[in-house]
Amino acid sequence: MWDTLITLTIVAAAIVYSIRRVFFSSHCSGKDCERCSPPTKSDH
Amino acid sequence: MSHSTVAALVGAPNCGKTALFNRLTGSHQKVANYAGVTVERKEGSLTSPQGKRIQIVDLPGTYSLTPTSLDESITRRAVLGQLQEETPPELLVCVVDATNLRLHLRLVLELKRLGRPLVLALNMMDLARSHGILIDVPALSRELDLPVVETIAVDSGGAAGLVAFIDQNTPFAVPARTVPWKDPTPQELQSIQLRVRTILAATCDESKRDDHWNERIDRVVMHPLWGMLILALVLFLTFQAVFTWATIPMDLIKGVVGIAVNWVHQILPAGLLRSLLADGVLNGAGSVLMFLPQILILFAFILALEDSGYLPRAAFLLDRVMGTVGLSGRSFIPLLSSFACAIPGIMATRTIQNPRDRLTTILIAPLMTCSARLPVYALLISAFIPNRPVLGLFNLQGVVLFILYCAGIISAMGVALIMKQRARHRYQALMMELPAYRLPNLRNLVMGLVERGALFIMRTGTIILPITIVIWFLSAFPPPPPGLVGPAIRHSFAGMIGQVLGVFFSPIGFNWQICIALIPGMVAREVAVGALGTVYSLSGEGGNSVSEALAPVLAHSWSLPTALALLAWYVYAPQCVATLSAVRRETGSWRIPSLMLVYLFGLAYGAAFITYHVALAFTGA
Repeated sequence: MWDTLITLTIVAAAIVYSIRRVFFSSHCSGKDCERCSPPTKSDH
Repeated sequence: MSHSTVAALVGAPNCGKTALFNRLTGSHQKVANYAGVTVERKEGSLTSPQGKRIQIVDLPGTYSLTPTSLDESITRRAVLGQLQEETPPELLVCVVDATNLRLHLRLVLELKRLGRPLVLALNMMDLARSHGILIDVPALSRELDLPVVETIAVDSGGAAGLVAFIDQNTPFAVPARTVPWKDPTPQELQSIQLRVRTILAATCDESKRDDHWNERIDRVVMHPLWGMLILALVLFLTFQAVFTWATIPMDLIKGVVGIAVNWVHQILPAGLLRSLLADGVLNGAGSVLMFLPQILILFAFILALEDSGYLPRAAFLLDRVMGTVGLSGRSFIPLLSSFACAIPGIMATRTIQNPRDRLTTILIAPLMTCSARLPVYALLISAFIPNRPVLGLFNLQGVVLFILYCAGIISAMGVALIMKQRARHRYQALMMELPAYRLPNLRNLVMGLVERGALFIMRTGTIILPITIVIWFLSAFPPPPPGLVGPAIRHSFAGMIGQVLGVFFSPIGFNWQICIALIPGMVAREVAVGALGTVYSLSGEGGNSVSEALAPVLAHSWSLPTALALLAWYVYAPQCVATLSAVRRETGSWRIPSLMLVYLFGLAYGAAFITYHVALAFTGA
């Protein structure tokens, strides 16, 4: 029972996070693409 | 809140502005030994030894205040104080390459006319000295009637003089919001250039200048025939190294993931949590992580070539070839950037003056093989292409990888050619400053690789891992009906989606497992590898540790035509969502990204269809 609860919690968190990341995040809109333009230490 | 001084770094391309910006602010913005790396303004800050807060703005390089491209117009507007919701700079720091004052002093004289507080940063003074160029700095300051400081941006204390100057002279007179500017007439330009020559004659002694070895190297490297052969050889060796050097570290990662999978099986009872951790997390995300060594080797070559000054030479070599398909050598740097990721490549097209050239380059940038495709290529090649030598020298897997990269490049040229036919394009000659050759800096190289590695791992953790967990969920639910014979995944949500999509993709040889992997591949291509790891792990076709042996599982489950068709698909496959949104941002509408999506999808489907059926005919499978 407990492992089902933990599993479904992880899955729910992953689904919410993925949806936010893919559809509601500007992480890769070109301004600060994390793969290509490394994060800066400076105060953006 | 205390006032902070806003200082803008202005200068010609490749004079070291971004290196100076990084030195001042402790940032890690991308630098390279060629022009056009910075295409948007960047901001950072530092606190001076006297405790003053200084805001530093790094602007794209420009040779003058008369812009010829989008990135140059950003600089002009920032300098003139015309950017909305932005404080005009109180101090302009004009950065010049001390080895090339003849070209760079014109901008200094133009900036002087604005009347804003201005200081000249003589950058790369170490190189100037080593090349035998003697600059009388106090005399230069007198002639220009400007404060001049020496800087060596790549040296740890190389910006101290500039910081001290700002410290001593803050606060600067608050400038007007905007300053008027009129582009100089040809006569005015001539007089500016004459003034530059007079200043140089009085302040700079180049009689002992010795950088002839640059010319000697260029005689070979820029030769129309030898140069092209050297370029082909450099690229070829890069792809060979990706396969031959990565074996040991990849085996190591595979072994660690395999041990982790077995450990999970030992400590957890059979059930959902064990399946999630073993099939979803470890076999999914783990199978992507093992490609880290190959990505690092590819970037080691790219970073070394960037730092050496070779890349703009390659742009000149390819200018003629690119001209025949309607592109200029200016497209080379954006297209080269696209080998890392299409997004910075698409942004780098701002340096292209002609709007139609820019649009063409944006449209073909996704055909360059981005690093996210490498895990997919590497997986399929290691599964289906034998690891044996060719001509006793080369590795066959490396040769196939080289061919796949070439297929992307050739296709891009083909698309550009078609666009040229439609647009009656006029060739524009390439003008670009060639930087001096230098040995790649080992520290920069190591730092660059550490950053790339950290970003890849972060990406695996923050994008690939959550998506593979979602894929696992779709592949594990709903539970199979009681008494089912065969893999339960066929009855899961993912199995249903895969079988519906299979109707559309079966003509190109894709099975339902591949169809499942294609959807998350739209978020990030390498997720397709993780998705295949999870799907095959749940299918029970790979035993416990699919991550340890996904390639053999695929080799056993797929036919060669299917694998070749998938490789062909990935040469063209529509870009990830992030790239499409970057194109929308750069072009200002959804029309171009929609066109890109449709044409790439069409090409991918067509290429996979042809490849599949030709391979079927040859293999008789």
